[in-house]
Amino acid sequence: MENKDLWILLGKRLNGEITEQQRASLERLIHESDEDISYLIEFLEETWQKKTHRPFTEDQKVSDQWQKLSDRLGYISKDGEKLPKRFWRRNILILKSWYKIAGCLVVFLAVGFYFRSRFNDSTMGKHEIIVAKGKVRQVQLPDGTSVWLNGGSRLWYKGRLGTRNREVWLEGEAFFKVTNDAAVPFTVNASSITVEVLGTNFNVKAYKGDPDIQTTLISGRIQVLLNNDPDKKVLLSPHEKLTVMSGGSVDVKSVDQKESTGAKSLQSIPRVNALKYQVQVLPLNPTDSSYFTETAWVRNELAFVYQPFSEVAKQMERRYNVHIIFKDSSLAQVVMTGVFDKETVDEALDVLKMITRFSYTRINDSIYIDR
Amino acid sequence: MDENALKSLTEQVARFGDQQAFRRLFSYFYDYLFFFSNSYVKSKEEAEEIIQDVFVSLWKRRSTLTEITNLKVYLYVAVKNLSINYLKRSGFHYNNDLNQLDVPYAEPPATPEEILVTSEIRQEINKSIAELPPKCRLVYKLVKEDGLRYREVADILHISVRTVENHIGAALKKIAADIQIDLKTRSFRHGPLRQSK
Repeated sequence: MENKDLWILLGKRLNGEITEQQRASLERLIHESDEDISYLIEFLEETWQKKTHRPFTEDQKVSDQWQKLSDRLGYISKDGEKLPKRFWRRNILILKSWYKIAGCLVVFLAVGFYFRSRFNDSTMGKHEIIVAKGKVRQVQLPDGTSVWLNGGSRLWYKGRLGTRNREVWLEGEAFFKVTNDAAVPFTVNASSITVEVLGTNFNVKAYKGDPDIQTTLISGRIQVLLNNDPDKKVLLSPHEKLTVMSGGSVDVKSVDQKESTGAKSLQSIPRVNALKYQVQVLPLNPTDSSYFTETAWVRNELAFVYQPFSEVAKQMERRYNVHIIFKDSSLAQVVMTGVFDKETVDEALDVLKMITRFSYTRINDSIYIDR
Repeated sequence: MDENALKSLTEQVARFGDQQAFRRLFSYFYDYLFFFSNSYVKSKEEAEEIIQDVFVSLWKRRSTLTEITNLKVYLYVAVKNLSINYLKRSGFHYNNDLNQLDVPYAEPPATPEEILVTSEIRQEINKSIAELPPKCRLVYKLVKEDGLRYREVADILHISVRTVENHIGAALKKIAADIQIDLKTRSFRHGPLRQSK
């Protein structure tokens, strides 16, 4: 009775927090106890299971409180516009008759879609949006999804987007603000990956010639399929960035220890096509949690954190529509951090010159970088 | 509600702004959070207001709901902070001493299927629980009644897991000591406690 440890261990066992080792020593303590306490323990175990009876449906008090809350919620929405509060209050009553109406609608819609798809083949063509280098363009897709396309990018889709099909193809970089539609997932095909979403904000960077494809999730949840390895699905949580390295020219050494390797794919696919990928959690900016360098271009900024000069140069090429050529390749490896907003290409280079010592010569649209 | 149900409701709210899912979260947590807040503010009206405020701000940030690692802990901590703010605002002296709290917890009432004898012992148990220090009683309530893990209680109350372990151990020890004699004589007189054994 006097042994304090016995009761501490019993508590852990009752709450399912005991380790196997502790379980054994609890058994021993009970056994060694001078008095017979097994009936007490049995009784405590029984008592522990008892919880205050909670009705399956909410009781009056909670309903009243919810009513009060939903009145307040009625006035809140993301964009600050007012929602009719009566709508929410009547929601449940309406729901029942809704099912009937919904049933009829499904039949009408099904018939309608059948004819539409048969007779509307003219809409089945390819729709393409191309953005020139040095430009950022925002477009709204027919399903309501907003897309920001970075310079030198191409986005296309086939046929009528929205009702049944929400599949797009991307070459380059785009930020997606996908409209919710649980029934029709939004799919982005980019190089060797496919991104599947329901409704969310994310950035995909898949330029031709880049050694990797980067997918950054800002909010919601997305699933990325690696086309070389159909079994491999990567689920991303907000503020995570997936980098998929492709081809044989990849410098695998640059991947940190946290890399994951699709072991299966390495064996079954020739070395050249081997895909490596890693998932990183993005560091939160302490002053503004919504700020990530990955999506800075959407705000017309060029931002980079600990990136090699070669990578920064690529971003500058897209932004300023120039060619940057390294005459001294060791400069390409120099790591730098910074943000450009309204700077011209010359101003930007002058700022970089302050961080790293180099010189540059500009001939029309070509910039040569040298020691 | 298990972790998965909680997670899927959270996701419903985050993705689709589903008010029905939000309502289920609200009604699931209401009693627990109300009791918790009321322990601090000792005012029914104020505790109700605090729960309202917590859920309004939860709704406002609904699209980022899935970023919260543990919604339970988040809610309890939010309620705790608002409760303490209220105490400070209204000039009550609160110095983070959990023993200042008012924790009127008692074992849940007997259900019809329980045999009569246990409800008498329940009074014994409630007497021992009432004699525990408020801090210990609160920890016991949060673990046993609200179904929180030790780690979660520790995070909510800003104490160590070891302290939680000690409080639960102390509570069990006291209850066991208090009912020991009673239970022995009773089971001698009436036979086994559970009829089905």
